Amino acid sequence: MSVLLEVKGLQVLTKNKTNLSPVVNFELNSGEVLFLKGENGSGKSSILKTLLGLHPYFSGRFQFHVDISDIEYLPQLGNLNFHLPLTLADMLGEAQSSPLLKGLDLNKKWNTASGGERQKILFSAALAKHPRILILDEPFNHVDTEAGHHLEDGLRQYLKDHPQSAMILVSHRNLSGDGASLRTLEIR
Amino acid sequence: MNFLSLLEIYKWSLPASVLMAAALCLIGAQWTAREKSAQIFVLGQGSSLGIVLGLVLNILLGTDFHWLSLIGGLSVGGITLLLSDLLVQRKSDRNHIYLTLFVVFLSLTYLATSLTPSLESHMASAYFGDLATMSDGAAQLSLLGALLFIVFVLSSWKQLTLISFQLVNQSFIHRHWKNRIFDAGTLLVTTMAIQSMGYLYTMGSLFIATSFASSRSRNLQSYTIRIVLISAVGSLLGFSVSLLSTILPTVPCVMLGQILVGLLTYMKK
Repeated sequence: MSVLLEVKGLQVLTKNKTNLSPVVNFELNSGEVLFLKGENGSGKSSILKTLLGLHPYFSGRFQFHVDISDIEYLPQLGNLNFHLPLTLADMLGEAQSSPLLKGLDLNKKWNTASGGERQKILFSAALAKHPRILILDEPFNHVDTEAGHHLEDGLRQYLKDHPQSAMILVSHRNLSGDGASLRTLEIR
Repeated sequence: MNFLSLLEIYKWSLPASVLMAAALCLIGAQWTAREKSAQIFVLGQGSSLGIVLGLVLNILLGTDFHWLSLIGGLSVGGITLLLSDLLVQRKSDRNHIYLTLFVVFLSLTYLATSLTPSLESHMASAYFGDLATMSDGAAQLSLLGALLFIVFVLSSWKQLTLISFQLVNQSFIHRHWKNRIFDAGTLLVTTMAIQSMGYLYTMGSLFIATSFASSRSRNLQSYTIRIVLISAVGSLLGFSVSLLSTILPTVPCVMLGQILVGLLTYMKK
């Protein structure tokens, strides 16, 4: 087991130094799923964005022990519509053989696909790059229960096949993963 | 003078305007996808100011260097891009700031033109353009710039599109050199187009094709073919029609040509 990320005394701030999250300390080890749990507005997503360099104001420090190119990030999806008429196949790149894609019509346009279909595509595209760290922000939003379980199975299988990888996951929904690889960090 | 003789006169400006329209429509597609169309509007006005300042400098120095205006346009355009990226992008409601910047640059352009009487006539041609009076040198430079940019953009089209998706989805964490080249190329091609073909031609060619094609295309490939067709065929059609008449100006004809071809492709699902 190796340490992929160390976070010490990290607190997300606004430009005016107002706190957006509590101070957090954690490590992310290979083979692990770190589950960030907390109420709306507790700063979970802001912590992820700060780690990824998408939010510039913070105190404390953190260090990735993998290259940024080995990290994949799926943000909260919302109801994003895209100006260009991408099909699901256009979004996939080289990931066209993922088991998550079973039964999907890849000629369907992104803008008309359901939340579950969109997430399956984004998951497949991200996993096909074999990331060492996969960072997921509310991946089960806009996804029905069955598709959610399907996605969870896909993630579990990925970690099983790639034990040197790890995930950080923010979700309102409790995960049904086995206790050995799942670690929960309460953000409040 | 017959049509073929006219084509001989415009042997550089005609292909330059057609290829430049195609290059601009590709830029417009990605910038619209990035929800930055208002930003490129400001970039265009910033470049216009720089071009005028270059002309003023030429007058003050008693020279006639085409590249002085180009450098002026690139410099002020670059600063505009940097300012709008660094200062404005992070704000949630930014369109009013873009419009304010646009008005500021427009005012400064008008001021510089008014203070330099010999440039008064430049204002109209800078905005509404005239492809027929473009010099061969400017046309050749535009042709080369547009051609190189088209080759680069089309060879990286899928990748740039996925970057656009990540940018608008706020998940762009892997900086990529191709995106940097795209941004720099946008500045260069837009400035060259404004300098040689005018603001109206540039803004129209950026957005007309994608406005017609985005909702009517099956996938990314058919969309790309459509926008290039609308801009290139529309420009060729408009330019040719304007040559057939002694009173029809080139740029409005090119814009109407693009709109006409856009409408035809829109009706054909």
